[in-house]
Amino acid sequence: MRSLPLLLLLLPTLASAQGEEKPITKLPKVKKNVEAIYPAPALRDRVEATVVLELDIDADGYVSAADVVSSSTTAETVTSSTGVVSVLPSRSSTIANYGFDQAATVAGSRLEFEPAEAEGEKVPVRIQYTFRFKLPPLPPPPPPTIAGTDAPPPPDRPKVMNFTGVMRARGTRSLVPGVVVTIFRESEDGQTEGYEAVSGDDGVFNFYDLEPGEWKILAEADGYFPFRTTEEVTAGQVTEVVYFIEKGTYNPYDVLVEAERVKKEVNRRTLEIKEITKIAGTLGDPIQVVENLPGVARSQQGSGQIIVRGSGPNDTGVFINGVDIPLIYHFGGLRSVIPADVIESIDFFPGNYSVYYGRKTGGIFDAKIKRLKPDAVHGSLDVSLLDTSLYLEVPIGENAAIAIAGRRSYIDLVLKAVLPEDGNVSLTSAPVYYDFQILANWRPAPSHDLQLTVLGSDDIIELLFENPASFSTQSRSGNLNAGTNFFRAIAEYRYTPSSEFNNQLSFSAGQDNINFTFGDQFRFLLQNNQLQLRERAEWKFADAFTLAGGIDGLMRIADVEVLLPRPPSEGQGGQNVGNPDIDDVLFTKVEGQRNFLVAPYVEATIVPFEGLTLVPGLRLDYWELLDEVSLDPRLVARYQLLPEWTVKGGIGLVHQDGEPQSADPIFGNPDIGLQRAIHYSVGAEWTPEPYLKFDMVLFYKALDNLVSPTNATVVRDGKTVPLNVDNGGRGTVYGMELFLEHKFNNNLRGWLTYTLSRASRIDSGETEPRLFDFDQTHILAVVASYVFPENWEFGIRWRIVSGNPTTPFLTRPDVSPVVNTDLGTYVPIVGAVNSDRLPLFHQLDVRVDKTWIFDAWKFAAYLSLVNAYNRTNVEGFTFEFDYTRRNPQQGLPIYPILGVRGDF
Amino acid sequence: MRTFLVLSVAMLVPTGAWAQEDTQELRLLKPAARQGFYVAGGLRNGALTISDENLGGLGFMTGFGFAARGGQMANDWIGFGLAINAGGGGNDVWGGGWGALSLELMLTPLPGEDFAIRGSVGVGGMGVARAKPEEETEKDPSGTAGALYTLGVSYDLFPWYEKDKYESGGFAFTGFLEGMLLPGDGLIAGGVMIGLEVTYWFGFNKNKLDIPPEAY
Repeated sequence: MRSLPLLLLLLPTLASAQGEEKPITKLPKVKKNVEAIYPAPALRDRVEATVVLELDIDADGYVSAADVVSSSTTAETVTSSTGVVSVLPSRSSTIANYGFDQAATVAGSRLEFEPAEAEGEKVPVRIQYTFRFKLPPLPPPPPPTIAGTDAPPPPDRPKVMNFTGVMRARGTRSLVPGVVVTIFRESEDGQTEGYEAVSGDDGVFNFYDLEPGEWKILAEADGYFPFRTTEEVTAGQVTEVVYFIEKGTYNPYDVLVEAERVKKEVNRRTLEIKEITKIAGTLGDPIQVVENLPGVARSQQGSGQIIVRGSGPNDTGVFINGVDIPLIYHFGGLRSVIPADVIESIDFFPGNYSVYYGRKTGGIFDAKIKRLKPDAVHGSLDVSLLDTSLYLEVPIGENAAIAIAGRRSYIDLVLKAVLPEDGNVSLTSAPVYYDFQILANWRPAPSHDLQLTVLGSDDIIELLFENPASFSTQSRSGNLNAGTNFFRAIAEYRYTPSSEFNNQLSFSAGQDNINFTFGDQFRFLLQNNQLQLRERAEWKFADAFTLAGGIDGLMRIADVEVLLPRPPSEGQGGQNVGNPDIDDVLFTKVEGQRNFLVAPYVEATIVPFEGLTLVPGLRLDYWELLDEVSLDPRLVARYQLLPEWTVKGGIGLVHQDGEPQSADPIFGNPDIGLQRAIHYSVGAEWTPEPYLKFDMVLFYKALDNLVSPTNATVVRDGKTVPLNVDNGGRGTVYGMELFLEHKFNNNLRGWLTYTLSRASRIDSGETEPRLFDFDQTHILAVVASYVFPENWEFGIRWRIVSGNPTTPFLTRPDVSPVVNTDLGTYVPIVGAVNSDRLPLFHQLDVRVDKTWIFDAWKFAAYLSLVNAYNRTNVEGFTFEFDYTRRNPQQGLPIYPILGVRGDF
Repeated sequence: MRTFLVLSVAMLVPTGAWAQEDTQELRLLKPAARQGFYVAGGLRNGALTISDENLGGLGFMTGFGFAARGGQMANDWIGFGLAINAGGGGNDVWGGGWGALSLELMLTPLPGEDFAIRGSVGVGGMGVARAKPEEETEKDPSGTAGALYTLGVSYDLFPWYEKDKYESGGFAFTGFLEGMLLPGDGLIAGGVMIGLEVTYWFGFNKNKLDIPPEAY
């Protein structure tokens, strides 16, 4: 079965290049050879092949692309002793489907070369590389007998297969091709008899004509532990076995060659799910990992806010497959509303994003739902101290699959156990959250892909304050109820008939419900019905020009009823407004309020010359509620200065409406207009090694027309009423982001990110800037994980972050407190807005994972220590009743999270 | 990418080798006693000192403790595990008890030897009370919770292990010496413990060991 390699033949042809100035002085030379697997069915059927590949070799000698140029297969011809040439029969009628192309492509992509050089400088080249799959010669026929002296030779006895097996990987049950299986035994005279087979693409290996008796089996493959056993072969029977061979490591970063998406943005961070579910401190939640990326501020513990480049939590768009969703976290910010099991990747844009997105002046966060592959039944059960989740995926035929998932928290059980019975607060209905997802994929033909996703989320909490006066002297009721739920049904169709054209159409429908009541004193009731249509078509007219266009349409119909005091706006000190008069409430009720938002857009990708990519785009938004139209031109440029260096920049205009209450005639201003931001960024990327990347970006964001509180009045319908808010606010955000990423290599993966920024605002009617509520000057995060043998993984996350600005209250024992005699409460003496800062935050989180591998499933357990050195971080302050002293609100101390998970 | 040349290379490929996965070189280990999963339990004796923010030092306390540990050596030099510790002690004036759940790390600086450096970090708590309740005052500390850190050394003695039989794992008597620190809220406790445990090492499956064929 084996043949020896022959001489390497090198046949240079004439140079054909565009614009080269230096001739090649040194050809690429194979440094690391990779043998291609000879497909077992081809060996069985005696089929040979020649596959010509086109390899792109970068300046480091690595193969960055491998494409098949041509391939041809031939059945072996045999010349018998009588000179008759015959073609051995092939079992398969589809002779070309033996897998030669795949085997050659995989081997070719793994080759390593000494790079080509042009006058001493390493340069990338493209070469053609041919793999010839050549069969070893058949054994010689037996010598002919002399006519008349011996009986004619008996006809060849056909081989009888009497031992067959399938090789599968332990834990995943996937078929393992290329395993060398040796069957052997020692005879009584000490001789060793043995045979060898190799498992094919289908994992199958066969042995023929084995003598009955006990045989030893040894199975070996690169990257797998050897497998040993003994089997009994019985005369007249076929021994059938299934062997599970264990991989050396089941770390999540074991991947084949991946093609990187073409980069068209200044900053896009794509996180693959398999890389981020074990980040320390994130409790396995992929969305929380975003907080460790450059440009993202640390949110206050329990808030679940996403704060990007000096923008507020409501200024960053959160999407699932491009569909708008109302919230990304369950209450408390501990868990996102979609589990990792159904997510494939997360795209995060801190700024300068494509015209595909809009209506947000901050960043964009888009989680991509996984596309199911109908290969086998898979599932998982995940149990942690917070919640339990289930996932099940089932193939339907060869082209479809369906999956269902669900999760339920049990914080209610934990809180009921720890809250004192004689405490001031009791739980009528303890906080609980649920979420569910249903996925379905159907690919009726290679160019058609349909996906249906249904997801929903529900959060509920009910509290009973035994002494409402402890909350406020004006409280009449102690019963607090809060609930949030939403669902979305998303149908998506992708049509990709060729590499030059693709089209994506998605339609979604859903409903959001937000309910908050505090007795009969306060209430906020919102029901929002939403329809969204997204269409995007992309044509590649030439290598240098691609045009994309689409439409983003959104229809909302809302019923809302609000009975609340006017909520404080950003910059009004947040909770630090002392004891507000909670009887000063406003009421508004709207039914059937419609808001139609539609935005056609167009975007081009232009490559005027090699290395430079320009992406201009234009988006036109219509806002029905505000009766406004906005035009957002954007431009991104990327230039590959050198093979390892890329410079980039972008400028873009984005518009955003205010928060929902800003256009309400009672709480806001019905004449309010759009807010606006111009994003500027410039940066560079350096990739000295394939697994190492440095990224630096300088950014500036100019904000104007911001919705800002005002004391002005206006005459409406003959009455003078408060204006409440206007578009007089403005602001600036500027800074620098550093990102050093070490992709998985030598068992280590991680990144370091540092953001230095300043975000300020100028409120309406003011001239002096103040710090933005969420300004964090320094944000440093180090995330690292190391994979050890025996499926252990150890990870850390260390963060050091500037404290958030805070508005100080003057609290001095020698200063007499001020009393509001009407309300009978003390009133704080408030300092300048955001003129103080909370103390520095720093915290170390540690996580250890261990996976046990069984034949048909895997079991994993993890222990996460959050705040491992028990740092006392201050999240805010509470005050004595007379504001003479403040007490720090401490963040959570060290606490463990234990979890277990089973996968099959 | 600039294209300078189109080269045509022909190569004949030997059959039989698998090259599809980006696999790391798999290293089989020599059989040894201290391999694989472990479970251990034992007693410890030591001295502890506690310092209170109001009362200052509370003096040395002696006492006993126990631990239950479990984990695995990932390779021949590092291992991870979980440890549950608890104990109590006191002096003439004070008495106290502690407990902790910790993540444990073991390093074997000399692979093949049974000497290890081990440390842990976890969540711990400590309770303190006067030995004579009638002497209690309002300012007396009641206890604290926080991170518990330990660092020490250990040695596993395998009295029944036979090296020439290609065995992996076995029973061991483990002696150790370690320091512990629990910096809590208003209270800091620290001490030194010495103890003896019984440990069972499960060893590795023979498929993961570098042993001759006749050993299978």
